[in-house]
Parts: sequence; C-alpha cells; structure tokens
Amino acid sequence: MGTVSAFNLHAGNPETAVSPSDAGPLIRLEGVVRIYGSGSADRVVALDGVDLVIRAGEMVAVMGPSGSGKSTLLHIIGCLDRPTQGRYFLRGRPVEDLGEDELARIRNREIGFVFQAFHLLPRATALENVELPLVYARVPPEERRRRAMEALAMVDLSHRARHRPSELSGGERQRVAIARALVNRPSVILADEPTGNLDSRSSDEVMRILQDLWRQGQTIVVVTHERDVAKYCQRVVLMRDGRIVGDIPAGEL
Amino acid sequence: MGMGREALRIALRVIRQYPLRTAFIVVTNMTAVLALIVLVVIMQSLQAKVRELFSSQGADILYLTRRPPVLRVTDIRKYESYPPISTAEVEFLRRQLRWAEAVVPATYDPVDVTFQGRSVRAAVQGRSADYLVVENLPLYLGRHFTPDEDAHRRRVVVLGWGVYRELFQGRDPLRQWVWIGRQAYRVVGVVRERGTLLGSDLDTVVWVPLQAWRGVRPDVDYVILRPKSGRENDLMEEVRFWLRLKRQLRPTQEDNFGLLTTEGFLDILRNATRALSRALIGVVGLGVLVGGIVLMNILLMAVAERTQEIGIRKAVGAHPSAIAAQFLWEAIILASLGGLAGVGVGLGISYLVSRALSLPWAFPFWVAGLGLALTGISGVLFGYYPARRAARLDPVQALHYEHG
Ligand SMILES: Nc1ncnc2c1ncn2[C@@H]1O[C@H](COP(=O)(O)OP(=O)(O)O)[C@@H](O)[C@H]1O
Ligand SMILES: [Mg+2]
Repeated sequence: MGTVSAFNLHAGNPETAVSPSDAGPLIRLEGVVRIYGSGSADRVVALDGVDLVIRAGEMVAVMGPSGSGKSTLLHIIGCLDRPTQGRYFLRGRPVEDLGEDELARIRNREIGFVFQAFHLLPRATALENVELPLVYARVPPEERRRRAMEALAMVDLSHRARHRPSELSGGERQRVAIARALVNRPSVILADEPTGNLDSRSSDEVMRILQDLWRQGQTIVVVTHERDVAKYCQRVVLMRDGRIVGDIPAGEL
Repeated sequence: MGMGREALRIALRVIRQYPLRTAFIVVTNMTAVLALIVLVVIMQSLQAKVRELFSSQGADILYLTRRPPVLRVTDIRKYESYPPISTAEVEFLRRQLRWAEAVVPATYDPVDVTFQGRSVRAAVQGRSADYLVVENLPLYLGRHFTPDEDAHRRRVVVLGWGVYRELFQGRDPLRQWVWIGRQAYRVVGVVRERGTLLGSDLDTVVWVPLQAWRGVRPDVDYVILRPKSGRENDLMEEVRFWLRLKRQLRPTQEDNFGLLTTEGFLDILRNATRALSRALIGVVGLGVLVGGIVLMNILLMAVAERTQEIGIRKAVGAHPSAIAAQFLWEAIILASLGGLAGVGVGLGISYLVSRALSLPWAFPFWVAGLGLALTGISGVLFGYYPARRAARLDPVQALHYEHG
C-alpha cells in the first residue's frame, strides 16, 4: 500500500482540516442515551448514558459483544441517528440543534462511513461509487473524476475503476468503500466492522490501509469485536449493554 | 454521473424493470394527450373552416333569419310562432338601412332537379341578383344571372358542382333546360367545387333568381346583409331597430327573428360540439389520473426496492431534496414519455384526418407544448408522494432494509 503517502489528506480543504491547534476535541458525547421503541414491550435501551471524547488524529477501536450498542454509537457519531437523550458536540457544535441541511452537509463533508456489508451502489462502477459524495458536494465533473481516481489510487484500486462491485472481491469492495469514505477528506472515518465479511488476508489489507490513513492524520473510529482488528488502533473503548466499560490503550489488550 | 443524467439512467432502468406498467402509463398518458390534441384540432379546424368560408365573402356577413338558432329543446316550440320574413319587410329594410352595402333576400328549398331523366335532390337557393356581393362563388363555366334577368323573372339557373356532375357528367350544360320541381330553368353557369361544411354538401346546390322563384315562395328564409366597412355592429343594431318597428314589437317583447354573425355562428358550433368537448376533456382527465396512479404505484415499488440505495445516498450526504428530486425526475420522465408519444401520434393522425376531411391542417403547436406540460405536471403530482416518502426515509433503517 505504498501509494498512500503520496496523498496529503487535508490539503486544500481548510473547512474540514483539523489542525493540532484546534482547542476542543473533535467528538464529545455527554450522557448519550438511545432508546428504540416506545412501548414497554418493545423498548430497547441501546445506549445507556455514554460519555466519550475523541480527539482529532486518534484511531479508536470500539469493542464489545454483539448487541452492546457499538453500531448505534457509530450511527449517532456519524449523524445518521440522533440521541434520545444527552448531548453530542462535533467540533464543539451541538448536533441536536442542526437542521436537515446541516446534517446532510456533515454526513457529506465531515464523516466518511465504511460498513460491514460494503453498501456500494451495485449498478455503479467503482469510480462512480467513489464519486458519489462529490456529486452531493456539487464538485464539478472533471474535478470529481480526478479526486475519485486519486482516492482509488490510495487504496490501490486504480486498475479496477471501471468495474462494478459484483466484479470485485470482498476486500476490493471494502477498499472501494474506504476510497468513497475518504474522497471528501472528512474529519473522521467511521468503520462499522469493516472486516466482518472478509477473510483474514483482506482484513489485514483493509486495516493496514486505515492505519496508513491514520498515520497521515486521519481520525478513525473502528467498531469491531475482533482483537486482531483492534490491535491496529491506538486506543480501545470497551462497551457492554449500552455502556462504556473500559477505555484503554491498544497495547493493554 | 450528474444528477440529471443519473435520473434519466434510473428512469430507463425502471422502464426495463416494469415494462408492462410503463407501457400502461405511456398508453394512458398518450391517450390523454391525444384527446387533448383532437379536441383542440377539431375546434380549430372548424373555426378555420368557418372563418375561411365567411371571410371569403370579403367582409363580416350578417344573417337575418326567421328563427334564431336552436340552443335548447324548449326553443323549438317558442320559435314555431315566429313569422316568416316577408318580401315587404325585406323591401322596407332595403329602404331604411344606412349601414348595409347589400341586402340579399334568400330562400332555401330542397327540390329535385332533373335533366333527361336524371334527377338529384338539390338545395335550391333563391337569391336577388346582387348575391355575389355577399357570397363568394367562383365560376367553373358560364356566368351568374344578371339583375336584368332577376327583374324580368327569367328562369335561369347556376348549377353547383355536384349537380352539374350528376346531371351532365362532363357534357356541356350551358343553355340546356333543367327541371326544378315543375318549372324549367335554363343553365347559364356552373360554380366551382366547394367541398363540405360540417357534413353538409356545399356542391349539391343550385342558384335561381328570387323573382322567378317567387312564383313558388312568397316569403324568404333569410336575408344576407353585408355591412359597410367596419359597420357590422351598427348594421346589426339598425336591422333590429327597424324590423322591431315594422313588426310593432313592444320593448318588453323578445325579437321574433334571428340575427347571426360569424362570431355567433362559431358560438353555435362551439355549443354543438360541447358534448364532444366534455367527453374529450373527460378522457384527458381520466387518462392522466389512471396513468398517474399507476405511475405512483411504480414509484412506490421503486422506492421500496431501492431503500438501501437511498440509505447509502443519505449516508454519503445526499440532502433529502436531492433524493426527492431523483424520484421526481423519474416521475416526470416516465409521465412525459406518454406525452411525447401522444404528440407524435396526434401530429400524424390530425394530419391524416384533416386530409381525409379536406379540412385545412391547422395543427396548433402550442397544444403539443400543453400536452407535454400536462403529462410533466402529472408526473410531478403523482411522483410527489413517493418522492417525499423516499426523502423522509430514516438513513439507518434504510441501510439495513432488506428488500424481499
Ligand atoms: N432499529 C432498531 N430497533 C430496535 N432495536 C434495535 C434497533 N437497532 C438496534 N437495536 C437494538 O439495540 C441494541 C444495540 O444494537 P447495536 O447498536 O446494533 O449493537 P452492536 O452493533 O453492538 O451489535 C441491540 O439490542 C439491538 O437489538
Ligand atoms: Mg453492529
């Protein structure tokens, strides 16, 4: 993955550039609660008072058993979901108050999502998939193409640009998804079990790419329940039953 | 992958995916637009034909008739009591009217016209000799009758094209005697072919001098008046005034005669074609409605089927309005396909029909625009709900939705 270093992640996008001089943390959650359902029968407390701070430049693993609320947490951080209670500050701004315009802008510019099931558009080529966030950012076509090709180069998939997802291996699909996540130079990449559908070789590849991105200053949060995956990170947050039950350096795993 | 092209691509995908339903939308919307076009084309062609007919007289002609045009069934009985227009009244009007260029009394009688055993039932038109001032009747053969012939009650006749063809079949008719009822008339001319108007044949007609025809009819059916230039309304007022005076109508009494202008005649036509118009407007509405409902159905299926895709788009930052726009464009494209087809077929049919009926081809291109706008707007209307539904999907739920 030697191509990664050729790309300065935050060049030319001052809006989302995160410099060390930024005073507050990138992400701050205070007493975040997320309850699904309303009746007493179907009521599920997925998050039960989560306090969490993530600073720019960190690479954090969120670990915990299935059903412990990891995905819910990630969705809230990624502004795909809202807390039932508690507060969430993204770069110091409370997200609760934001309207649909602002939320769409944040999902587009500040957040890059990577999912376990890849979630690529099946009928679009790899290149078109990577271009998608730029379409919604209203980037003109030529620049869109250029930047998407750059992002594909970073995940070593330039030669697959014209292929559709069905023509790619699982590892390649996830690398396309990573390229899509980073193409708009987001403040943070959120990956929800990115290796969950991959064999161990592809998993290593994907994690090494994420790690390389982190080395260049990209903030990354990875949800996983695999120790091997968490080892690529710097810090590990442990969850159980919707609560954070541990927050340790990855070395202590 | 610009958003417009993207919408087009997706719309084409929908067409491939639901070919039957798409075909149905195309057919219903096409029918609607066709009905719209037919409606407008019929109206305009009629109008064009009538105007052509009237304006070929070189002026706006006024008709004084025994009875006003029947608009309601109840009118028939009311008009029955109206007196015929007498020769005396015509003479009176001739003397009084200041704004008339010509006052031409006219009769109309369907009578058999016979020549050497061949016979045809023709509309016999009695006219005073100045009839050419109010009617445009170019000759094919011979001449029209003269004031002198009228004054001396000469029995001469000008044949319409159809009568000439039926009775003489290409032979020279001039100076031949034909029987009109029980009187013999000498042929002096033949008028060129005139075609049909609203199904009535304008060629199975003969023209005779009114004075000679008086032996048969003492009164007239109508009077054709030509106003002096720009005096149509003045003439109309004048005719009403003098005829009411002559007939000693009190101010509270209605006119017991009819006065008709080109516009009035068009009004009557519009009235007569109103039922047809209503039916066609019904077809337009129904077509758009049914097509729209199927369109909405297709789009709702597409929203369900593409829920995950919508989730993905939202997760990478698509604004709800961008999602809605995508579906709205699809709706507009799908709906407009029928509109386009309707315009195309409508152009073709209207051309063929107008040729078949020898009407002037008056295709109003604004109707094509109207038809397209109509279907496009129906796309927006019926696409609105599915589009809104797509736009409002919860991103997380959409992402994890598995389409059955
Ligand atoms: N949309 C939902 N409706 C109801 N319950 C949900 C929903 N999503 C998640 N849950 C529940 O919330 C809890 C946390 O889920 P999740 O955040 O997906 O956990 P994890 O990602 O750690 O497996 C689980 O008990 C799950 O069943
Ligand atoms: Mg999960």
